[in-house]
Amino acid sequence: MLALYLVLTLLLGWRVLSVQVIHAGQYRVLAARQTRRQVNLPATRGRLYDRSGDPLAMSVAAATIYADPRMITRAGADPRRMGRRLAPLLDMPRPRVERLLREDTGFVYLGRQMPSRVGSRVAALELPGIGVLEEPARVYPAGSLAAQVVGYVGTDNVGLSGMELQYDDVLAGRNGLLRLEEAPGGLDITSARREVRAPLPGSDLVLTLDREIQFTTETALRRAVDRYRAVGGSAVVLDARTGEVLAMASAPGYSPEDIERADEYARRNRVVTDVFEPGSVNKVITGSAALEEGVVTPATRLMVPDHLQVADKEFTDSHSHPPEPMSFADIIAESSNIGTIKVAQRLGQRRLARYLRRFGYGRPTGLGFPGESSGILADVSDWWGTSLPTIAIGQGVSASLLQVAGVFQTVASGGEWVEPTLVRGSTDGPGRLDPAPEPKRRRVVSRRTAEQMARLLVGVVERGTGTEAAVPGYRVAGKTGTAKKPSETTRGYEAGAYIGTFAGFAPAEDPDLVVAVALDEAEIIYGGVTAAPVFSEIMTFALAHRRVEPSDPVEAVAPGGAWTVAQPDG
Amino acid sequence: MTPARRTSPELRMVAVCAGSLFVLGMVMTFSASFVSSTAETGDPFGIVTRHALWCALAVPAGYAASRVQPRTWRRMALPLLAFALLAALLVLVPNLGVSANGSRRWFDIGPVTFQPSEVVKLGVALWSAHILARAWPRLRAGDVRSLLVPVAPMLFAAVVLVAASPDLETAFIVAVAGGVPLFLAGLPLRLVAGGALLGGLGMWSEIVGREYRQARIEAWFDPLAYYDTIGYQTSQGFFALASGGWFGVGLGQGRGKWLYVPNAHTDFIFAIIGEELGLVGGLTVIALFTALGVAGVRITRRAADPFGRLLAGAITGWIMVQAFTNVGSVVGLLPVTGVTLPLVSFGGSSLFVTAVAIGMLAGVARSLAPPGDGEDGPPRQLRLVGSEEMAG
Repeated sequence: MLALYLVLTLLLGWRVLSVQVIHAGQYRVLAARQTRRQVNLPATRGRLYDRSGDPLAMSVAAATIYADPRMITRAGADPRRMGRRLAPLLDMPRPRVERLLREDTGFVYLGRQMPSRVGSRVAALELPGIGVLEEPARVYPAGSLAAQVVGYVGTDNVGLSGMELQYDDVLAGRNGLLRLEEAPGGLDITSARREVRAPLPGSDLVLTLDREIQFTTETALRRAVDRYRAVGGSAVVLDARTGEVLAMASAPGYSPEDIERADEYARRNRVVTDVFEPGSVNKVITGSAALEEGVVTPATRLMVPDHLQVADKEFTDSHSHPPEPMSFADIIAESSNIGTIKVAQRLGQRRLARYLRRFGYGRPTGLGFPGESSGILADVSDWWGTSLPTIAIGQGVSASLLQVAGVFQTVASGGEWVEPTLVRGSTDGPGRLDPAPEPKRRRVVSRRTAEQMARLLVGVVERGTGTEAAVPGYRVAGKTGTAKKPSETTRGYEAGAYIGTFAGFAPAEDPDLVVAVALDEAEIIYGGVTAAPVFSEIMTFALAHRRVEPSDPVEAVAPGGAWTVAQPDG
Repeated sequence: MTPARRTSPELRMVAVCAGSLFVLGMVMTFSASFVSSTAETGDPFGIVTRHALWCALAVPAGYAASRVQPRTWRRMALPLLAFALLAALLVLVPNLGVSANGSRRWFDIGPVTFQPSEVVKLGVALWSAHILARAWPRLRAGDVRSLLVPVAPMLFAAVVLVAASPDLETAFIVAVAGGVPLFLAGLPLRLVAGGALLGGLGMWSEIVGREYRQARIEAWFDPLAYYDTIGYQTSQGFFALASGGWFGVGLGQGRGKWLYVPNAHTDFIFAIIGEELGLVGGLTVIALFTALGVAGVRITRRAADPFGRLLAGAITGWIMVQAFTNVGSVVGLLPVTGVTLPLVSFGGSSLFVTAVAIGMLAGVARSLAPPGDGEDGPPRQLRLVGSEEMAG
């Protein structure tokens, strides 16, 4: 009997040895796995400021509440009772909470990024299998302001669009880590060692946007879209000297809280993502090229009929008129298609194509904005009979509104194209700014040509198609455009669908601001009627806001003054 | 155990082993219970305080039992058994007994719970020894009928009563407590084999009849496969033991008791001992029980009279089998059972009854030594050993 007992004891000892030492490996791994928890310590995402330091996007502390339904079952807790206590705090119907608590899983979210006070109240209940994590929420203090530019983040605080996406790696920072050991129910095992890797906060970005100009731009656009029953409208405001984007907006827009309900069209920053055939504003490129290449001067007179047959296509002016002699200045001021085509024919395909590219068509602007489009500019070897006249007046070529604004910025800054920018720099504390790299610059036409073209564009506003764009006290240069929209379904153009444009700069004698406005399918098609007043509204505000000195009114009317239009008749 | 006037090596061994296990039990009950005690009552010392109170009752009771004359025990045998069986019957009445984990095993008396089946073990051991010792001359003459009647039917009734709660493991130990005296009194081996067969069949029908038992058996062979359900306890026991390794993670440092190992301070305290004190600690526990067993067997062999012999055998068999069952189920040698580790686990009734039984064993051991031998024996040595154990 004793012998039997000793044998059994040896067996027992062997078994203990086996479990504790010989085959301990996998059990030890599983044991460690069940107690060890890694708690993600989210890094604070950097803020986005407007140019004067007002926050456009920031992260605030928030609580994410989750449940481990399996643990609830193991703890023998009653999901019904727990649901009754949690539902009012989570602001969720009780049956839904209860259903989540009964799911056959080890992890389920009950609420993400709830106010911190909700988190602390849930934690205070000390319910088994219910946990609270800190997970910052992204808020946009300016609401819908510049929403399409700023963009948005997903619930896990990763940038999904706009600047939030483009600069995600700068803003995100690096998450920290807390390693600890936990008992079921989330009890902290006090005897276990804790390991902490602190999170590294993201950098803040200072944008070039000016809150006030942005607001005015959005308001003016919204009103115009309503008034002219347009599908939408876009506008961009640039600093003429530096290429900084001061405002960039599209209507309709969206409110960040309602991002889910906003449609794709409203979410896009259409100033850079959408392209259109620019129409008559393109005559600025054709005209600048012709002046630079010396094929015309502002005073050059041409005989202009109201229609012209080129290859298999007949081109017309927008208003019929008998053949008449027109100066090049009149052609631009009156936006004559036939006159522009005649000038373009003197210039030739090759040279026109080269200038289109130099003015920034068919290539990225360098802004790098997510979803940016370069537009479509066919290689000159692919041009056919009607390409030259078509492209000269801004059809058969497409560009984004930002590219169009770039053309006017080039003329405004004396013939030098400047890469547009949205970021002034990054900052890791108040008062310190690590400036963004200097923008690229490119000479496109000579200062003389740019100044001549500027004078012609003043004529557009003072006596041509763009009088609605005038700004009291300032001399404004600009160009209207009314372009047919290509059909989305067939070759050719959509009947009755136009994009009305106005782009220009002021003050003409020392340009400070460039504004470009486009209205999509407005009831009144002419850009000079619809887009020009929006331009005027934005420009009027922006000039005053930036305290730009008004143009000298005496100078403006003085005969032969440097900035009066060269009168073709005198 | 306080040193006895007349000590024998066996008595000393019993005292040292039981004392060491008591002390270890006190320490490990606290270590294993402070988390669950805090979780349940908010007081980390709640459970260990109750354990200490039971110890304060059990140790004097055990000492008293070692000093009482054997004839006093024999007079108490029948009333004790009657009381135990009546209690075991009453505990089955739904409104009287408290049930847990599918079994109805406890009475809830004010601040404490009371488990009749623990008393049944002692009652059966004592009464069987008493009856068989009384019939000793006839048994020597080969009277099988006197051997079997009335012990066998009574034992059968006791086993069935305990098994009905249902508590098969304790019923098995009751069978051991009554079966060992029968065997020592000369029960023919074929009848032992027959009894074992009968018992085995009974158990089998119990297992097949009760789904939860069947599942326990399956989980026994592959606990990890049943991790989410019935394999959970064994798996957690293995995790704790494996984490302990050779020398343990240190007293108080274990993770298993952080609500991972179920019944950490009762049935599964061996897992916590293994985790915190390592293989060394676990083997020490096994060694202490083995030494206790060896001492018990020697006491049984050298007992001066048949009653002492039968009683010592019954108690030794019961405690050894219970310890083996408990440790065996923690380390996966047996399916998970609901028996405590004698003298170590938390559990008032078990602790108290076991202490009394050990006291009786010591009482039998005291009568081994010839008078005069070891008078004023070495209490110093005992204390020394005791304090060493405590330091460990």
